[in-house]
Formats: sequence, structure tokens, C-alpha cells
Amino acid sequence: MPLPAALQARLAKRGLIKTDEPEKENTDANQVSSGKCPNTSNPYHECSEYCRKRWGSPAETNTNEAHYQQMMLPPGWFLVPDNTSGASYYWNTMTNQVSWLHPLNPKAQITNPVMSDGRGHEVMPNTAIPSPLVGSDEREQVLNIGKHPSLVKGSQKKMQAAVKRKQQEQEARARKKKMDDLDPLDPAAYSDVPRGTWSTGLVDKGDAKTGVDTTANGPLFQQRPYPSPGEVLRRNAAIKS
Amino acid sequence: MSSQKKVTFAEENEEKSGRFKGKHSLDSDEESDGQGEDEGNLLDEDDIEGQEEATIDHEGEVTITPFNLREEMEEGHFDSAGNYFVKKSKEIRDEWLDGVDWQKIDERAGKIEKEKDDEQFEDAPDEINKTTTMKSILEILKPGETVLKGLKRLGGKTQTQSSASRKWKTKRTKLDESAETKDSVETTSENKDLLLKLTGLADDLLQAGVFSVYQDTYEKLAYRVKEIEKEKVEALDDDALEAAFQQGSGETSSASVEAPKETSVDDDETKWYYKWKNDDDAETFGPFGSTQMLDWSNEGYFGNGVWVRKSNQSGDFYNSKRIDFELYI
Amino acid sequence: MSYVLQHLHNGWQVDQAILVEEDKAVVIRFGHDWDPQCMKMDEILYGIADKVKNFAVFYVVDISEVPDFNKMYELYDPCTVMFFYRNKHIMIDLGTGNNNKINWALEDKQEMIDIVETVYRGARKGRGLVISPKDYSTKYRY
Repeated sequence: MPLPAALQARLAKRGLIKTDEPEKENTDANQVSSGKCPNTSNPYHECSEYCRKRWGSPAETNTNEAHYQQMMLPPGWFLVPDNTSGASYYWNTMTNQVSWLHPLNPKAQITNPVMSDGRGHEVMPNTAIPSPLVGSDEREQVLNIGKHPSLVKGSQKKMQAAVKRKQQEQEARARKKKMDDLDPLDPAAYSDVPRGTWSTGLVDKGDAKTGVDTTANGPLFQQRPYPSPGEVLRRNAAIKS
Repeated sequence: MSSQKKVTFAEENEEKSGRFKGKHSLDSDEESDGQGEDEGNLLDEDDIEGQEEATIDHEGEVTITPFNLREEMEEGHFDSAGNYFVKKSKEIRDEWLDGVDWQKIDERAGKIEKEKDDEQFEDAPDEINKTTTMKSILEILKPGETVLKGLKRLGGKTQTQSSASRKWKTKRTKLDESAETKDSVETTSENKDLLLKLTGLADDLLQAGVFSVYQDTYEKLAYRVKEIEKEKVEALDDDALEAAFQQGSGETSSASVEAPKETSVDDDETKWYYKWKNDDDAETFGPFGSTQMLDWSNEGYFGNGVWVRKSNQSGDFYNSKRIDFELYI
Repeated sequence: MSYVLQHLHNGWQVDQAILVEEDKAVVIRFGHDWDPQCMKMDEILYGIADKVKNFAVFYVVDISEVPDFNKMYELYDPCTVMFFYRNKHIMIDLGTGNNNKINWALEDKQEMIDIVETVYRGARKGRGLVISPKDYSTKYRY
């Protein structure tokens, strides 16, 4: 019983029916044709959660290298020709990682360079790339493309988020450490009072609310006379000065 | 037996005489104290019952001690109460005591006693000088100051400085001997004189029995001086103030001063009425003196408290628990 | 009536008023002349001033005019009466829990006389705390 193509595709997507090769290709093709964010060509557009849901993630659906070759490289990535194989590969000048496929391609295996041929990469990260493939003008362009505002912006956001996370972690660690140092008998350990400093609780002369001895308690509490008026005047003068 | 007694006598006598020869022992004093009594109540050996004569000295290798006190009697004596005293013929002598000239010591002791007597005589004029001492202290002190504070004020400037800062200061004064520093030096020396004077005066007062001098304020000292003078001049005491209370509001203060001291204490004392219940128709007792009331309340005669009122006042009866009768004595 | 009682107009005067009395209790009423409670208290004080003149003197202090003592003496009540003897604050156990002062207006002249006399007698015997003859714990609650 043949199912309508669209239904079959949906069921296959949910994993309810098994599909054979031609069908998969079919769905792939189907999705490629329909599942692409129409805004990918817009440099100011950043694919949001909505795009991925509505159109499907281009990375998920589209693994065609040719498609990616048209896409802009993330910052730090450059296209470098390989002398031994004649093909070109991608190289991240910042991390010194390499990939045969476009770095945004989910199939791409981004790895550290292997120096099997004994020659390896003599270029250091962040140094100028000797590129016979592209002229200096074109290289400029490549670099420019790599630094495209939208991508740069995204990475910045990521960087900021990372920094923020790091700070939060540090704070949490500091808090934990603080809590560890807290004496269990400190009122701050078991109540809401803020943690005191060295001078907390010391009587500040200027803050004296009363002339009586405030340290007296218990039966002494009601037997603490006020100072004489002369003494009060002297204390007032002392506080003022 | 009697011969033994004689022996003890002889030895003790010898010992006594030995003391006067200049041979001293640590317990020679005790000995002389108890000796007289002991001689009277020495236990006579006849009084000891159940003694047995010595039979044999040895049975084989075992020595047999006879059942009597003869041996003990040779080494000492019993008094009539049965206490045993070992003769102290072989006493431990302290050699250093031999070098002491006892006559000199006796002389000196006599002198000290004499001096003491003299001091007691001198105390009387001290009493009179108290006021003058206080007055001179008052000259040095500032109003509201205790002697202690005064000492701090006078001595503080030089004393509170740490040694390091003092060194530094002296160095500086050496470097620039300006007139100002000289002035300050002069004032400090003046202060030093005052400080010494004040310390001396306070010490005098302390010797005279005024133990609270250092804590006394200027005002208190002034008040004391006045009080002493008043006592001297008018020979008045607290009784006059009591009289002022008794004579009440209408009297002038001069009248209260004139109140004769001779009036008996009972008349001066506040008198109290008391009743057991705080009802208008309850029976009132009294009047009784404050001393009597104090005694009663101390003895617990009033139990849970009675209701009392002063005899010279109309008004409410107060619970005796809250009245301190001691204040009215 | 309070204008007959002597006013003290600054802290120094208060100090001196207490210092100069060598053998009398000094009774100071802190408050405002216009305050009804103070008026009541002043009337009592004025009424007995003559009767106790041999052992006590009364003064009146306006706490707005002389704010020096408000903090140290905790003068938060409209009318406060405190006792001093030879430059020493004399406490009195009134049964109220506050032994430092009378902070209400007494009703009865004789009661005030008795209190002042007790303070004077106690202070003269060196007591720093005396017990008022009457217990005010039931009448005046804190």
C-alpha cells in the first residue's frame, strides 16, 4: 500500500516506518528543495530556533560540500591548498585546526594537523598564509569574509556568554569557599544577619544611644545609673570633636 | 622511779640554763612555754596500772620487751593526761642562732615598740592636718577631677609617650632648641613638681586613713573639708539633719541648726505606725522607732509585710517590704 | 505653675546646679512646660518644694532648649524626673522596671515627698539605688 510521499516522509522522520535508500534520497532531496532558510543569503540574518524548526537546520539537512563552499567561513578559518594532494583544505589560524570539509559542514572532521609527511605545517597560527591559490587582493577578501559582521557578532556573543559563565562559576566557587570559612556558631551561619566584619559589634562612641552602661545585663540591668550631667556634657563634647 | 623524775628535772633545768648561756634552738620558745605546766602534771609511774617487771631479756634470738613503760620513761615523760613527751636533750641546733646577739635584739624590739607608741601620738596632729592636706590637694586639682585624673593630667604628657617617640622628641629638641620647646620643658617640670606634691599629699591622706583619696572628686574633697570644719566649729552631726526632718517644712534652716544635740535619739528617730491590713478600720499599732521596726522586719516578725506610715505624716500606708528602715535610723 | 520652679537654660547650668548642692538632693524635671503631663508634675513639685527645701531642690529643664541630655538620659517621654545627689545619679526602684527615672506624672504630693525623702536618705547613706515606698508596677505599665 503506497503512502503518499509527504506522509511517508513525515512518518519516516518520526521513525515510524522504515524507508529504503531511494526513498531516503527522495526525502533528502525534498528537504533540500524545501528545507532551506530563505534568509541564508541575507548576511544580516542569523538563523534562529524558529528557522531551524520551520525550515530545518541547514546543517542537519544539507551536507553537500559544494553548498558550503559558497558559504562564508567562520572567523579564523581560511581555505588553503594542499601541495601533496592538490586539493585544498580549511585551516583555522587561531586554533591551528584543519578540516578537509567546510568547518560549518556537520560532516567535517575538524582535527589537529598530522605531520605524517615529515613536512607538516610550518606556518604558525595567526601568521600570514602563503597562498598560491589566491592573490593578495583575493586573500584580503577571504579575510574580510571571515570577519563578516554577522559571524563576528555571533562569536562575540558566544565569547561574552562564556566569559559570563566563567565569572558565575568563579563567584559560586568564592561563595562556597566563604561558606566553608564561616564559623558554625557565627550568627551569620544560622540566621539571616549579614556576615560581620572585625569591627562589627564594637561600640562606637559616637553611636552611643544612651549614657548607661549598655553591657550590663541580667540583674545589673536595672542598676546602671546614668552619668552625671557634667560627664554627659564632656562625652558630648568628645563625640563632637 | 622518783629518781627518773629527778633526772628529767635535772635535764630540763640544764636545758633552760643552756638557753641563757646563748645556745639557742628553734623550739626553745615553745619549750619554755609548756614547761611550767608539764612539771605540775607529770604522770607518776605509780599511777600506771598493770605494769609488769622484766622477766628475761632473750628467748633464743628473740628479744623480749617487758610490759612496762620504764624504757619510755627514760627517753621522756608522760603528763597526767597520758600524753608522751620525748626529752629534747639532743636538739637540732641551728648554728646561725649561736651568732645572734640576743641582748641587742631585745633592745631593738623595745625601741620599735617605743616608736610605735610615738607614732600613735603623732597620729592625732595628723588628724588635724587632714583638712589642710585636702585643701592643698584642692589647689592642685581642677573642678570635677579626681586625684587619679589629676595625676594623669600632670604626669600624662611625659609618661604616655612611648619610648621611641620620646627619644625622637629629645633628639629634635637637641637639634632646634627653640624657645617654645624650652617653655614646654619648663611647664612639664612645673607639672612634675605639682605631680610630686600631689602624690605626697594623697599618700599622706592615705596614711591618715582616707582610703578613697584617689577616687575622690574635687567636689567630694571640698565637701569633706567643709564637713570637718563644720564639725569642729559647731560640733554638729547628722542628728541636726534628722532634726531638720522632724521639724518639718515650716521651720527655717537656722532653727534646724539650732536644734540641740542633746535631745535623745528616740526623739530624733522617725516613728512609725503599722497595721496588719491595708483597711481603714484595721487596728494601727505604734508609734515605734525605726530601730525597732528594722529589728522586727529583720527578724521576720512582719512576715509578708505590714502596712506602715510615718508618725509625723498623714497619707497612705506603705508596704513595709518596700521601706528600708535602716535609712531612717 | 512651672514658672515658679527655677529653669535651667543650658547644659552647663544643669551641671552647676547639681555640683553646687552639697547636701541636698537635686530633682530635675525634663520635659516641656506646655506639656499637660509636665504641667501636672510641675504642680506637684511646686507644691512640695517648700516642704522639702531642707533636703531637696527642684529644677526644670526644657528638653528642646537643652537637648544635650536627651540621648544619654534617654529622654523620650513627655515628662521625666531624675534625682541627683552630689553629682551622682540616684536610681529609684519604682517597681516599673525603669529604675533610672520617673517618667510619668505623679498624682499625689505626699508620694512625691516620700520618694524625694527616700532618695535623699538613701543617697546620704551612700546608696545608688533606693526603693520608693510605693510600688507603681500595677498603676503604670510600660
